[in-house]
Order: sequence, then C-alpha cells, then structure tokens
Amino acid sequence: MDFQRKNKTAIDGAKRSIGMKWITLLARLLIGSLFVYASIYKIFDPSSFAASIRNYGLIPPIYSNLIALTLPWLELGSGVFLILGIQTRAASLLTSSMMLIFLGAIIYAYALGLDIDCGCFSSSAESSGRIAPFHIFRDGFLALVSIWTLIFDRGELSIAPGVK
Amino acid sequence: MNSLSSLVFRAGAIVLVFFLIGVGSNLIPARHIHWLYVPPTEITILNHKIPLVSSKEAIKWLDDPLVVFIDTRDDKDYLKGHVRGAVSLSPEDKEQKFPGIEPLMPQGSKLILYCYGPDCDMAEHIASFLIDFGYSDIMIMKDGYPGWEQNGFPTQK
Repeated sequence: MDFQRKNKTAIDGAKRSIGMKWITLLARLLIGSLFVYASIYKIFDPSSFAASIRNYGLIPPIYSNLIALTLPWLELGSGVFLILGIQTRAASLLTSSMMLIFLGAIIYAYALGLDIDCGCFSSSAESSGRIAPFHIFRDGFLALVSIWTLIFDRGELSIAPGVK
Repeated sequence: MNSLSSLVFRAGAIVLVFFLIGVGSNLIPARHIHWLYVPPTEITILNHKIPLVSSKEAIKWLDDPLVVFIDTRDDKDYLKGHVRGAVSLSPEDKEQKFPGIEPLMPQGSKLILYCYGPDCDMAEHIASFLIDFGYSDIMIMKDGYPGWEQNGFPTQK
C-alpha cells in the first residue's frame, strides 16, 4: 500500500513536471514569436520607429535613431533564441527586461494622456494603436509570461538541448 | 563565476552581438539613417520652404502686431486653451472659417502655425491651404501647443 501511494505520488509528480514543461515551452514560444514579429517593421523602417520613440519623450531625441537601429535586432535575436531554445535563460532575461521597460513607458505615456502611437508592432502611419488600457494589460501579461519563462525554463524541449 | 553573474554575462553578450548587428545594418547605403537624430529645420510645401521653429523661438513674436498665431487643432481643443491671441483654423472647416479670419491676417503677415506637436501634420495641411491664398511668410511651431504650454508661455481660453 505504501509502495502504491509512493508510486502514485511519483507518477503525479512526473505528470505535473511534463505539464509544466509544456506550459513553459508555450510561454517561451509565445514570447519568442511576438518579439520576432514586433521586430520586423522596426528593422525595415527604423525612421518611423525612431519617431515613435521620440513621441514618448523619455529619452533625449538625439539618441532615438541609435536605439531604433539596435533595439529591434536585440528583439529579433532574443525572440529567435527563445524559439530555438538557445541560451533561453539569458534570452528570457532580456525579453523580461524589455517588456518591463516597454510596460513602464506605456504606463507613463497613458498617465500623461499622450496622444501617441504605441509603436509596438507597427508604425504610426499604419497603426490605429493609440495608447489605451488594452496596451497596458497586454504588455503586463506578456511581461508576466516572459518572467515565467525566465524562472521556469530549464532548456528542455529545445531544438538545441544542452545549450543553456 | 556564480550562476547569476554567468546569466548576466551571457545576456550582456547577446546584447553586444545584436547591437553590433544593428550598427552594421545601418552601414548598408540603401538603409542608412543618421546615427544621431537631428531635427529638421524646415520643410517644403508647394515649393515653399517653411521654417520649423520651437515655441522658445516663436515667443519673441507673440506681441508683434504683424504676426498672427494660427491654431490648427480641433475646435474643442482650441476652446480649452490656445496661444494668447491665436486664431483658430483647423483642416476640417478651413473653407468655412477662413473668410471670417482673413481680415485678421492681411497679406504680408507673418503666420506661425501650430498643432498638437511634432507628430501632427495639421499645421502643414493649413500651411498648404494658406499658400494657395498667396501667403508666403509662414512658420510652423513644431512642438505645438503642448510645448508652448509646458514652457509656461501666455495662453487664453
């Protein structure tokens, strides 16, 4: 009877562990995919992204071009690394940090009532994404998902296993 | 090196690699933009060069009788507050309003247009409209009413 109880506990533990692995994998793929998607327009149109950065008024405008040139590539790289499962903890540390910064910027802009484009996934010329509470909730959720990946991903179910 | 330091180091290495890739991508001539942003000092509308000035530059013309400030924002925002002495002329009803304000801005007046800020093109729209009516001495206050208000310059409702 003790053996059966211990065996059931071990089986339940293994199922929870497999469930956690799949949830963490989904979280990793979600964040990775979104970062890759978000980086595309910014890489092809850094001028528009730089204008979106300036609209927030958080950094000196003179540096907006340099950030617009480099940040999207970091987003792309982090996203690809998460999808492929390469250096997942380091990549998720970066995505979590970026999401927290983006979230802070959006909250700041919304609190000030800035009538600006989010600049999250497309340029102001194409987007109707004026900052709204939806963006705050969305980015808050994505930040939590990214932090989940940072905490719980162990590089399992990766295309490149053993690379942590 | 403990695991946290190792994690931060690896993240830093990823940042450095993709920073360099981003920098390298700007070396492609077809994609090149200026490394550091330099705000434009003028734009061209209908072959007219329109200087872009800041509110700190525009303030010096506030009490000049030959200068007219034109608020190109929506009426409801004009009524909430505008540059002292500014007249309202927004794109949506410019044809109806213009005859009423034309006596206030004789030909040869210096016109300073403004709207919601650097990302707003309503002032350019009105500039184009006014150029068609023969006005040529036009400027756009690029930081718009928010910039004017932030500097604490005179306003009225």
